[in-house]
Amino acid sequence: MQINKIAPAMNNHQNGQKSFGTTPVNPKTKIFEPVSKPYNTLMDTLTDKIAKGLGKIADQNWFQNFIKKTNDSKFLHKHLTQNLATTYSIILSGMYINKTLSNEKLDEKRRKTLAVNQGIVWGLSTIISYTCDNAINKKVDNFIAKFKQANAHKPAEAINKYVEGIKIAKSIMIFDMVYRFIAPVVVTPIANHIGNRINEKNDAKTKGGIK
Amino acid sequence: MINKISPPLINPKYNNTSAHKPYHPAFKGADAAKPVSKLAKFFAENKKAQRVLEFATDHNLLFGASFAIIITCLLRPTSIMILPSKKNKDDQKYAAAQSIGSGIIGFGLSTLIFTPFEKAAKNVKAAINKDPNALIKDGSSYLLKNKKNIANATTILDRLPDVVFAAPKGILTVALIPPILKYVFGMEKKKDKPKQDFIQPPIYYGTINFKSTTSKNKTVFDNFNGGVR
Repeated sequence: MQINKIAPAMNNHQNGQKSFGTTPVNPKTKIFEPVSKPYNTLMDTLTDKIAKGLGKIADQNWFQNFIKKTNDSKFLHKHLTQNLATTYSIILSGMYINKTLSNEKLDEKRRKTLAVNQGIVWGLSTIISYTCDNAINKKVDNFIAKFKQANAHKPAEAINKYVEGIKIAKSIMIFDMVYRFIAPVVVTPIANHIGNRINEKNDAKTKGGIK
Repeated sequence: MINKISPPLINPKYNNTSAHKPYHPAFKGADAAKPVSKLAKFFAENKKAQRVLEFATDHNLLFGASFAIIITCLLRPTSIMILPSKKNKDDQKYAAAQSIGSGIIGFGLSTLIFTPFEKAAKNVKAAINKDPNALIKDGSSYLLKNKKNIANATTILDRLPDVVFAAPKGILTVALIPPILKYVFGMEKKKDKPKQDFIQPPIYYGTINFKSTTSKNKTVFDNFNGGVR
């Protein structure tokens, strides 16, 4: 009965009720109940609906074909986290390039220059990210071996979770560092230089054609 | 009780000595012979570091957002202010504030959007691992063939919101930066000098004719020749 009051989610689970998102109620947080209760209800409903949606996606043929193709390709499978980060950057950079090209406040030449620069920034950043990630892999593998050795007394399940965390954190940190820090600080001036050279060459060609 | 019987298995200090080899079968051989680095020891012993690793595994999108806030609120503004630039100090300050603003907005939006998604993905992951058939109706499905397929599927489902919400999150961040800078940091972007709508042709003073054609002023300008003596 006590369990019922403290942890209805646990009780629901024990009763075999299938629900994805029930939040256990902490008795210490009663002061915040007027706010936390509707928030938790909303979150539970939302989580439940999203989980059902994700479950449906997992059951779709296209998704399973996609997983099969990912597993069959060594590159896609080995760099899954990195490839997902790159997909994110393609969408974001593509959106910004599209916005630049349709910006009516800028003249056409300026639009093209900026769009080329944004494309170069994205390309260089992606190359740098993959290169750094691959370069650091060996060191991270050595670190993981030593980490496993130092954690030998712990259960294998916990160690596997930490190891997965190290790998995910490594890729996220490298890609974030490159896209958010190295790209604006280091890559943008290089991209501007390359973009200007391309434009100068194009201008020279056009002028040559007119003559 | 267990402590008394087998201290080397419980106490970590016994595990790295040559007298007590690690008991875990996976760590025998070449790895066991290597000395344990300080960093590995730190991660093995520090509970906070382990919590960070657990957080990265369970909430990799929020981990990314947290790391991004360190870059956008600390590293980038510092580099903007320190590195030499053609911009003046005010512009540098504005750029630094813009970076901080985008970091805060990005983190806020990520937390708001990704929290329910990560919770849902975690629950789906648990449900698939517990009973895959409950979620996937087709028994001959590719996902059910081995655990690796399920692991890849859950990784993709985990990061799917990041890809799906990339564009709306970007648009919202760009739209929210100016009001955040104005009302939180008290900064407004200085407007560029208004450009002239037309290009004014150069004036050639040599062609100006001071001799008026109207009869009223004719006498006045008839006597004026211009020029500097």
